[in-house]
Amino acid sequence: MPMEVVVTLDVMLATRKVRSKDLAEFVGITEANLSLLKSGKVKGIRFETLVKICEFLQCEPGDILKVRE
Amino acid sequence: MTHPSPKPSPRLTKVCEWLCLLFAIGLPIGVVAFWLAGSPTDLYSGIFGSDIMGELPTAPRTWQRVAGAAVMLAPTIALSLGLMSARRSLGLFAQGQYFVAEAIEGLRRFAFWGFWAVTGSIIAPSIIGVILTWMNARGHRELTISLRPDQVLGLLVAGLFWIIAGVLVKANGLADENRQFV
Repeated sequence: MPMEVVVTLDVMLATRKVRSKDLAEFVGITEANLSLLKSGKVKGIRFETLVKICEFLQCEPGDILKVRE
Repeated sequence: MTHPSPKPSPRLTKVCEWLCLLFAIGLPIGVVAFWLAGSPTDLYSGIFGSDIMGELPTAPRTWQRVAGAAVMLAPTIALSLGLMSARRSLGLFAQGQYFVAEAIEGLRRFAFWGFWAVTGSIIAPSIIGVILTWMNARGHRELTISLRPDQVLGLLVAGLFWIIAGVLVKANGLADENRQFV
């Protein structure tokens, strides 16, 4: 079975009780792009964006990105 | 060391856009006017050069003028189509849309039509030479074949535009892919 990366950012946002708008503003991306990221409809995520998200949510990359079959 | 801004001047782009339109419309009209109303001396010297004038004293007949205009129109219309394609691209550049598919396609078409315009300008004088000397006695008909340096340069420029457009297509694809990275 092929493996795929699943974005669990929405779960982390709910856990941290953070609004998408605040996260997008902190990271410096549009809400539309954040929405695409949450739904996994992007080809990739820049390290810079990942670091900012983790910084804001006080988490590790593995908390928002999972690899599943 | 400072480099000039790579962004093209909107005013210059607009001027070029209008020049393209002017030439795209004016050139075919000019060619038709030249062939229908031009003096025999001009018509013959345009094809054979001034040195052959002494051997071709007869004025071209109406059918020869019409045929000459028709033959010369082919490369001219190709050039006009190329200029109109370039104009569309310039219009998009003026709006700041440098890497949209339509603008790149316009450059590619400019190269395509430019190539055929130059190729036509190489072939057309040979055909017109035959047309203009068709009424001459046997043995006095002319078939001229010439290749000028500016025509070779024109082919090179068309080729370069074609390659650049191809590179831009690739760049557009990369930019598209990059947009999918958050």
